[in-house]
Amino acid sequence: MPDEYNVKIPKEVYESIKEKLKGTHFKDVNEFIIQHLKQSLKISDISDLGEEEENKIKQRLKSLGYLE
Amino acid sequence: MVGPHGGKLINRVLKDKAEVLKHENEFEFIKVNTDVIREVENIAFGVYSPLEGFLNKEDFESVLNRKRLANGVPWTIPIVFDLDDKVAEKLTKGQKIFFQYNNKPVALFTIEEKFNFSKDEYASKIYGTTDIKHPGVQRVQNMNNTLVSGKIDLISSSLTEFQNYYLHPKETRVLFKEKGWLDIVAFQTRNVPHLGHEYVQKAALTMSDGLFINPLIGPKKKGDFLDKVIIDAYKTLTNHYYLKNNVVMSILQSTMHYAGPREAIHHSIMRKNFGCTHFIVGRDHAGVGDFYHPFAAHRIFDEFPDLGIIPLFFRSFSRCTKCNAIVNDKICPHPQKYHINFSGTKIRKLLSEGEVPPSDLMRPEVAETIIKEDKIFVE
Ligand SMILES: [Zn+2]
Repeated sequence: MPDEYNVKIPKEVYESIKEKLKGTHFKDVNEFIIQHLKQSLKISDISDLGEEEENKIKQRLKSLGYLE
Repeated sequence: MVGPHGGKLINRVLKDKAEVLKHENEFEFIKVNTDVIREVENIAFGVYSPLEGFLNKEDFESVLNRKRLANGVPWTIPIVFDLDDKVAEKLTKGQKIFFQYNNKPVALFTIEEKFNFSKDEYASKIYGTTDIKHPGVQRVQNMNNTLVSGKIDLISSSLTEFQNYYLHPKETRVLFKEKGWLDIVAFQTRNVPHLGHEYVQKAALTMSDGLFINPLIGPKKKGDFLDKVIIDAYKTLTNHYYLKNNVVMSILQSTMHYAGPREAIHHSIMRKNFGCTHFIVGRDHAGVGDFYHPFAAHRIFDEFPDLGIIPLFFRSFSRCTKCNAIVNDKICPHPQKYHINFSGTKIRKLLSEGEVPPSDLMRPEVAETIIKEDKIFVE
């Protein structure tokens, strides 16, 4: 499987996104669409905490009453 | 949950403290105050992601002029370290110094560059005014003339007050994940909750999975509610009137800048780093006096389609005697004469006299909690 796929979007949508991105930190329309889709479809960025650290955090959260 | 601002959650807490502390007799020490410590810990724990230290000249000027870091990432409040000219003079690029607090080294600061700045320009760009009556302008005018940039490495946390409520972004992120929350609304506060606040929070919570109440703990003015009072009041409110599974409260150690619209963006960015997807912005958010238009803090969000956290705007809320409910300007058709505003001044006066405000203004349990405190206000 390839690492990336091409998706087609209508010219008008592309143009209006491009217009909106003027002055923002997005390099291009592509980058914006990826972030936007991840956000709206709730695809979260995997946290890079290791299992050991995550367990330590869960332990603290439990001891403080934040987790059961 | 949303990814951290700028794409990476910063963690600048030293793993090998002993290695660094070996240099205790070699590196210079600079004594810093609690305000600096708050900034240092926010950098180290990732509240200010993607910042890894205090801003350099290029980023500082970009924040002033474009409301963005030099790489284009939205950033509206300068996070800077000012230093007395004479002390700064001796520092050189690449030099490592210890920040000293409570007589011990708490962080390592690696000098990047030193630069001068115009206080008037800082004030007018960040606060929209150079009027010395503005508390933010006052702070800027009292700063030293030299700013020093560089990365921070935290040796140990010094902010021990309210430690049981002091969660860092990586911890809230684990917490939200464990709770299975996807849409998370953040609420910023510096006040004890009345029914108007509860209404706004619950309106937002109705449409999401969880509410993150995040009181800002920091320097206070005379007459402000004490931090402990705010925390205790919220504890009582959430125990009695919220579902335990839908609400989390932890504190944010930070300074209020009273920068209105720019600060609304800053507040959003910090909550994004905690993992929140939405942020409640009220009327005159982070404003002071009449320095800002009441909705300037709403309009500024138009400039940031790339912010990565969604603002929820509330224009107003009051009790309508005709609706017999708490309403906002979008849902109640009745004229002003039917509206009772939630007057902070009135509530404050009653509480200071040891009286419980009417129950359509404040929950009686909350009022009782506040009255029972030894001291309510900053003296
Ligand atoms: Zn009404």
